[in-house]
Amino acid sequence: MKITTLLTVALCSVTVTALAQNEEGIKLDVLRAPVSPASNLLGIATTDIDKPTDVSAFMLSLQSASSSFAKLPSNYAVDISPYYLFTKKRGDFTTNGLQSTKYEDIFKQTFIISAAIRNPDEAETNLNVNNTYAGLGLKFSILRGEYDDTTKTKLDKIIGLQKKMTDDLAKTVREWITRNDPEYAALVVQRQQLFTNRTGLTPQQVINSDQYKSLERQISEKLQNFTDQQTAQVRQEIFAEIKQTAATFQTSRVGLSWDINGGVSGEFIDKRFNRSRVYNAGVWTNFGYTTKDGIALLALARYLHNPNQIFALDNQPNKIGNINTLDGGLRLAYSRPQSKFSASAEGIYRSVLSSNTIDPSWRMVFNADYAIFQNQKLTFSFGRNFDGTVSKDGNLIAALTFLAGFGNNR
Amino acid sequence: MAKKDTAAKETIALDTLYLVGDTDQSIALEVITGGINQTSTINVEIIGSQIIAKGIQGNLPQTTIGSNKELQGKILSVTCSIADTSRDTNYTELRIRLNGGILFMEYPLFATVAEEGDSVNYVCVVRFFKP
Repeated sequence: MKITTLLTVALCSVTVTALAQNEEGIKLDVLRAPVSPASNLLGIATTDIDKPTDVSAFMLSLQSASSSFAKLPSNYAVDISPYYLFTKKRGDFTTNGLQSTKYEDIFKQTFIISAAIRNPDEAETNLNVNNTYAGLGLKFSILRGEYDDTTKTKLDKIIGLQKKMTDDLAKTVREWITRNDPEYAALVVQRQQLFTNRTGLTPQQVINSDQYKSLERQISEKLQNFTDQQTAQVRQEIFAEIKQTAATFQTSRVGLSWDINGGVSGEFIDKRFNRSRVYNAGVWTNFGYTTKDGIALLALARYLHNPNQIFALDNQPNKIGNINTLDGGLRLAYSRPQSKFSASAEGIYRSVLSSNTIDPSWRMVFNADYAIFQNQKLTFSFGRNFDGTVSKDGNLIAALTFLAGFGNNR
Repeated sequence: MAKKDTAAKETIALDTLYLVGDTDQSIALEVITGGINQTSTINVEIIGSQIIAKGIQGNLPQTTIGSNKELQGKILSVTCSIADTSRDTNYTELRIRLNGGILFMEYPLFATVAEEGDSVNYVCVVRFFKP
């Protein structure tokens, strides 16, 4: 019993230690394209990016960031989907529409423009506090796989429950109309009379009048109250059942995928717009194929002009100046939803195109993990580092070392 | 037009009028649901007359539902349930567009659910009325 307790404590402690090591040491997926290219180029955190869902929300956020349009925003980052925001929402952006594998739909649904402006403060080390920085980026997909079986099964379940719900709602509306509640009927007549008794007003003016809006609100409330009462039990049951699936729903895809991201940022010297230069720029592309069995092969390439940190110099701050770097990688991963085991192998090549002082190098890493408890994983990684040394890491190694030590006779 | 945002409400209702004339011109209906990556199912019917869509997922594309004359005095019912399946937003919306009558009308309704996986029901009644 004591040994089991001791072993559990030891495993937990090495897990925490190994996770901490992992963040600084062997890091996978480093070439993945950023969520928001412009913000990434200016080092703005993902959580600080505004993602408006409609035009009025966009205008409101812009108004707030620009002190009611009185000045340019000082620190602001936004990602907008132009097809969603500005084309009167004609596309289908629900999980149904996002199933489409047609090129036109994929482009419209994934095309994002990201913009950011930054006036750094004293705490910034990479940016000059006297200057203003602005970035513009875009991202889109050319190919996108279809939903995997798990995603389709979950969606079918939700939709099946929604069909029950909407059938019940439609029945309730029919009942409400047939019932012809006297108060409701009187309000409906009163609303119609606003049009028949209008004097010199156009129909649009009547619709815009406070009286019409007030009546419509009262009439709608009556419909809402009736629907709420009539569907309460069914709604609670169905909503609870939907929530079991929907709360953790994630879309996973199988098949070919190809994403392109790019961005450029400018530096405005002394915050003057007639004195500017390109600060940095980048293009990322991911191309891959994911099988139904959860195996994914992904190729990644990244070209950066004047990056903040040079990957080929172990991510050291860029003190060289305007250099161009090219990083490429290939990743083979195995991961299935609900599976305790996942593994990946990644090869990365990195080089600096415009400097002869930094040699290109490569790294190859294999990484595997197995979930033993919730939030507790055995991890193992092994590979060749950029400097040619072979490394092994992960809490599995630490645990095995610990066990070997524990079993020794002293 | 009628725009509602009622956080954490489970039912959003709209009872409105659509003005029609005395002509044979067709009236088209379009129903848009959202937001991005949410899951929706729609039923549309002209009460006591015709079922236009049953169990449709996503959007109802522009559909002719009858002429101005035919629809006078009739009642359109649009019912929809939207589940929050997006991990980026809790925002849900339903837009009804009617075209071909006296005016083009868009009725936007929206609600933000309180927690991941919550749902919202939308219930809409549109009366075709000749002023």
